[in-house]
Formats: sequence, structure tokens, C-alpha cells
Amino acid sequence: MFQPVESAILNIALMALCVLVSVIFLGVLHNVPPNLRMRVIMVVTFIAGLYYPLEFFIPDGTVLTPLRNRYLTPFLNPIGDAVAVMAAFTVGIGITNLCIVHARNISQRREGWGNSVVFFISMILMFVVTLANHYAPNLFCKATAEGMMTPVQAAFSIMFDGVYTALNATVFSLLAFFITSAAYRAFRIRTAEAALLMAGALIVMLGQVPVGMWLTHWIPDESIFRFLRFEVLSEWLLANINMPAQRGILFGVWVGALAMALRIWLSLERGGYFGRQF
Amino acid sequence: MRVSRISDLILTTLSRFQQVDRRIIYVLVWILIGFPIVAPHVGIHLPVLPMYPTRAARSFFEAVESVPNGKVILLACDFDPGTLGENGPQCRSVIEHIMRTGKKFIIMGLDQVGPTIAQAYAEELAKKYGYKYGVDYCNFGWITGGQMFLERMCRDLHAAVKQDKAGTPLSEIPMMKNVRSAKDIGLVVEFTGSGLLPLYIATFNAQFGVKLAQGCTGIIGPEQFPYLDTGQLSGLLVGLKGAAEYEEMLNVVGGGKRAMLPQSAGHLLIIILVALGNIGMWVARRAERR
Amino acid sequence: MEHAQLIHLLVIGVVSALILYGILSSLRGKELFIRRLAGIDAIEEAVGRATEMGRPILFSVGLGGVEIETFQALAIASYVARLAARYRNRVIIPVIDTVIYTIAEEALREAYAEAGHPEAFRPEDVRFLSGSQFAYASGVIGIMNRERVAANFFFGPFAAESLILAETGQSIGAIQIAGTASILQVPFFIAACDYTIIGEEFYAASAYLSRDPIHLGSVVGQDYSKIALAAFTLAGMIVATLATRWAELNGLLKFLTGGQ
Repeated sequence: MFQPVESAILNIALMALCVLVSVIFLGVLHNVPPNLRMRVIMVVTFIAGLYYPLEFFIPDGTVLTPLRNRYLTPFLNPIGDAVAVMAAFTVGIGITNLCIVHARNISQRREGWGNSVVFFISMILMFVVTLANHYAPNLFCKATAEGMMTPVQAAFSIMFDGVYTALNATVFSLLAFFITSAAYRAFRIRTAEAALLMAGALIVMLGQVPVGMWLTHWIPDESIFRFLRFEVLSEWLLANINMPAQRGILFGVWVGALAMALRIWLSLERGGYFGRQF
Repeated sequence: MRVSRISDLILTTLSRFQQVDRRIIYVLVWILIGFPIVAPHVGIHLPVLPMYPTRAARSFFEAVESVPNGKVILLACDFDPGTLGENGPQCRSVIEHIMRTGKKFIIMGLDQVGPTIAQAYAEELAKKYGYKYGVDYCNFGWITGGQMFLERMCRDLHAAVKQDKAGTPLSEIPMMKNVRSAKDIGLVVEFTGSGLLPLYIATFNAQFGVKLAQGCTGIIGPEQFPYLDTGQLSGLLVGLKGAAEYEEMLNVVGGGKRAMLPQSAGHLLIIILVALGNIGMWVARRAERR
Repeated sequence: MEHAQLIHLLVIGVVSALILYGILSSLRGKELFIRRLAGIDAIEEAVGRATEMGRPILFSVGLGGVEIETFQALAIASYVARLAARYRNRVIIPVIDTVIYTIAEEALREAYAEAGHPEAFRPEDVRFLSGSQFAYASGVIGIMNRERVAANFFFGPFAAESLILAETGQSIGAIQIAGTASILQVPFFIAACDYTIIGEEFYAASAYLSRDPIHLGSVVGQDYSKIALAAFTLAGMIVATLATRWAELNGLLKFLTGGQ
């Protein structure tokens, strides 16, 4: 729809204009009575939320289809670009908020303020090393041989692969211990339903590992008793017992999501953060 | 008398199993899972257990094989280091399969780290299969914007993405010359530990009819079965077992297969502990009733 | 299928109409019933127990940012805070998102003010720990152990760290109540917590506590729409089965499946 124009001055001018218009608009909005402000927000929310449902839900072959094709569908790409830009802004907002929160911890010497100092050091160090690795990997010296890393690349590798990736995976791996202790403590058969659940869990667990498969591998593949093999039983349980239940849950989840979306779109959502508190 | 003392001793011992200290459990987990992982590095060779690929894994394999010539495969690497243990071997084995079939592929991800990890796998395997970046594969990197951006990609890839991870415009990447939209993508493969599949179903599959396959972590596996049943997913790899099944079909021994022994040990430990806990509980109850 | 078919429009239209009908009925004053949720009733018990023991309460609002599930969790956190504030007991709220941090701080401050004990509010009880999932989990279990909390509440969107949090709370002997719409985490909470509110009960919980007509109406409207969807599924099953016998029904079947 719009052909991109390569011009730094135009881009900067447009950005400045957008900022100016936004500041004026927000300033005006801030100074009007709360009722009017709410009404403006409700109208803007409704109009903004109207585009995608209209564009998608007007079917082909109706009287409205030509209007959809002419006035709605051509805007899909620019609006998609705009949404992507807004999503990218949240990265900046997140970092800004992080810095404000941790700076406040340090300035007010709140409990654990030392961790906030560590946060700033880590963030700045990672930021600098990542930028250097991307834009100037040969900052101090070039790699001397194939497969060798420069100091900057090595620093990035140590911080990312050695620290960040390893720490993330380590904490995640705690789950192995916790699942074992939780399963041992909680899986007690006190009722018939619990026995059924336990039998199902046993079959699925054994069907997930080669040892379980090995236990029943002697049952011939072509025989009528093939269904007694752990992996076959496990797959049957997952596909025929688990799946309908998951489908039912999915129905509920998506209906709930639709209800939420309707409440937000029509500005019906309530809570202290939407203007009223209970 | 003696017999009753022995039987009392046995019953007392069994009833203690209902309250095993969690620290003992943690040590057992550490030994049983850690030993098979460490053993090869100290010269102890443990057997690689045979795998029997499930229908879902075989469908995944066939989906990759049946991608038409001239179309590319999109690898959506939506995982982070936390799920690297499961998604990593899946991703690596699928990339190896794609390279064996000589098909071109694109790496991207809705997570920041996934595309970087996948790129490392691709670079390592590219030496073995003679793949060249830009000609046979490329990496769009981290994509922001969620479903709306995916939709944008489906309609006009070049306008949506513009440049690859290294900043090269797509128009200058040889393999992207004939890849303009979802119509040029033969299969989307997603690797994830979170519930992002509906985004791809709502865009690539529902709107543009592109086949989907997924490699997911074990914990979200059960949730994906409805999509497999309706045909929205053409194949599914669940957890490390899925990776091991894929490696079995490729006839390689990778991270998935090597992890089957520790995973088996872990599962067996849980089963034994649960059994002992229940035996202990029943024995204690019977003793109380007496 | 770049655009919806007529059947999609019909289904979404019916579902949305039923939800809005529920909301409008409630706004017009119709009495709507939501059954008692055991987990919600246990909240008072848990707060009371923590107060008797003289130990603080921990309320985790999950991993979400600015989204509805987190706001629902904050609504329940406000309720818990008001209960605790009556007895000047502390409620520690660790958060993962900086925007939610400011909202949670405000909600906690208001709760203490409404209970008549504004001086009991401690700003450091709302803690932004980290933006990263497992760093957040590490921070929360650290707080549990150091502060020796007596009651844990886990409400909101959770992922893999749910078991880490719940199992640690179990190990320190805290009474634990969880509520999440993240279905995959429910088994872990059930194994490690005393009470668990599952799936849509979580959304119903805020309606149950607040008695807000819009929330109540929405929950009831969702139930109506699920009945309608079940009826539609049944109709589709019958048509698909009969179409194997009578080819004339293939046209209707194609319409019902959106031409696929």
C-alpha cells in the first residue's frame, strides 16, 4: 500500500511528529474530566478492536466482501507492521522499568539492594559484550586459526553459554528431583479411581521409555495381542482417553479467552486497574 | 514367637517406606540419572536402548520427506535454554534429516535464544552435508509481534522480515529469491516448551494450508494430541523420547538416544518409590486396624 | 482459508451472544448462582493459620505480565491482603513483571488502608525479583525459606517452575492454595498443594469473591456457550455419521465443517 522511502531525515521527522502528536493527545486526555477520558478510551478501544474481526469474519461471496477487499484487507500489512513495532517497544519499556525499580532499591537501601547492584553490573557487562561480539568481534585481536575464538567472542561464549544457558538449564533440572519427591508423596491409592489413575500413569510412564518397550517387545507386532505392548497401550491412552479430555478443556479455555476478549473490547472489564475496585 | 518377631520386623520396615526422607530420594535421583550421563566420559560404555518409533514420530518423519521440491521448511525455534534438554536434540535431529534430504530451510523463532541455538546446530551439521548459509539455509533470528506478525509473514515474507539475523537484506540471500510467502513454504516445524502452537495453526495452517509439525517438551505433549487427531499437526515429537525416536529413524545416536537410559532409570525409580510408598501405607493401615 | 466461512461467523456469533446475554442479565439484576469453591473457602482458613503462627503469607501472581489472568490473580491477592491486613499480618508478593510490580504495590497499600492499618503496610513486601522464569522461582523459594512463610498462595499463569515453588512450600510445612488456568501445571499443584482451583474455576473465583455482576454474568454466559458448542458438536457428529449413508447430507456436512 505504501512504498517504503529510504530517507533518514524523513524517518526522524515522522518519529518526531508522532512523539509530538502523542504528547499533545496524552496531555489533553490527562486534563479532561475522568468520565470523558473513560469514554474516549472506550471508543478508541472499540474501534481498534473492530478491525481484525471485521476483516476476518466477513466471509467470501457476500455483499460486504467487495467492501472488505477494498477497505480492510489492503491495510493488513501496514497494521501488522505497526503491531510489530509496538511489540518491540515493550522491550524498551521492560528494561526501563527494571532499571527504575533496581535504582530505587539501591537509593533507598532496601533489603537485598546488593542484588540490584549485581543486576546493573551484569546487565551492562552483557550488553557491552553482546554489542562488541556482534559489531566488533575482532576488537582486541583477530582469530589466529580456524575454529579459534577472539577474546570478545570467548567472553560472549562464557557469559551466554557458560553462565546464562547453564544456569537456566540447571534450575529447570531441579524439576527432576521435585517430581520424584512429589510423586512419591502424593501418589497414594486410597480409592478405586486412584487405582485406575495409577494404572494409567504406570502404562504411560513405561510406554515413554525404552525399558518399558523392552518389557513387552516379545509380543509379536502382527498378533491380536499387539495392543498389550506398553507403547501401543500408552499411545491409545493418550490418543483416546487423554485427547477428548484435553479437547474439552480446550473448549473451555478458548471460550474463556473469547469472553475476556469481549469484556476488554467492550470495556466491560472491572478491577482496580480498570477504573473500579471491589 | 520367632516367626512373629521376624514378620513384625518385616512389617515395621515396610511401613517405614511410606515416609522416606526426601533427601534420600534426591540422592537416589542424582545417582540414577547422573551415572548414565557421566559414565561414557569416564570410559564406561553403557548400552544404547532400542527405540520403537511411534505413529506420531513416523508421521513427522514422513512430513519432512514429503515436502515438495522447490519449497522450503520453516523451523520455528521457540525454545529457550530451559527446555534445551528436550527441544535441542529434537531440533538437531530434524535439521540433520532436512540436510540429508537436500531441502532448504529457514530458521526463526518467537524466542530470543532458540534461533541462535538452532544456528549452532546447523553450522555444525553443514560441514558434514556441505550446506552453505544463504544458499541452502538462512536464519531470520528472533521475531517479535506474535500472531499478527506470523500472519504478515504468511502474506509477504520479504516485506515482513526484510533482513536476516546478520542484517543481510532478504533480497540479497540467494535462497530467498523464490520464497515470497506461505505458498512457498512446504512445512512449518515448531520446537517449543510453551503453548505457541495455536498461533501457527491459526495462521500458517488454517489460513494458508501449510502443513505443521511440532517438537514439544514432554510436559505439554498431551495437550497437542487433539491437533494431531484433526490433522492440523502432521507429526509430533514429544520430549526426549521423540528425539530418540527420530534419531532411531535416522539411524544416528544423538542426545535423545543417549538420554534414554537416564530417563528410563528415573522413571523406574519413580515407579518403585510410588509402589514402596503405597505398600508402606497399606501395611501401616493394616497394623493400625489390628 | 484467509477469511472465515459463514459457519465460523455463526458459531462465534452465537457464543458471543450467549456470553453477552449472561453479562446483560446480570447487570439487569438477575440473581446468578456460582457453586462454592473449596479452595476459596480455604483462603480464610489459611490466612487465619498464618496469623496464629505469627508468620507471613506469600502470594505469587505467576509469570504473567499485563494480562487478564494476572489481573484476576491480583484481585484475589487484594482479597487475601484485606483479610491479612485486619490482623496486621504481612503479605509478601513477589512479581516477575515491573508493571505488575507497581499495580501490586498499590493494591497492597489500599488493602491495608481499607482494613484501617495503613501503618502496617511495608513497601518492601512487594518485591520485583527478576524478569526471568527460573531466576524468579529461585527468588521465591529463597523468600519462603528465609521468611518461614506459613501460607503460600499461587494464583495466576504458571509454567515449569510451579512444582519448584509448590514442593519447596511443602517442605517448609506451609499451607498452600493454588489456582491457575494453566492446565498443564494443575497436576503439580494438586500433588503439592492443599487446595487447588482448576482451570475455569480460577476465573470463577474472582467472580465468586467479588460478586461483581459483569464477572458473574460472564462466567454464566460461558457455561451457556459451552452447552451450545456441545450441542453443535453432537449435531455435527450425527450429520457426519448419517452422511456416510445418505449422500444428500454431504452438502450440509461441508457447510458445517467450513468447506474442509
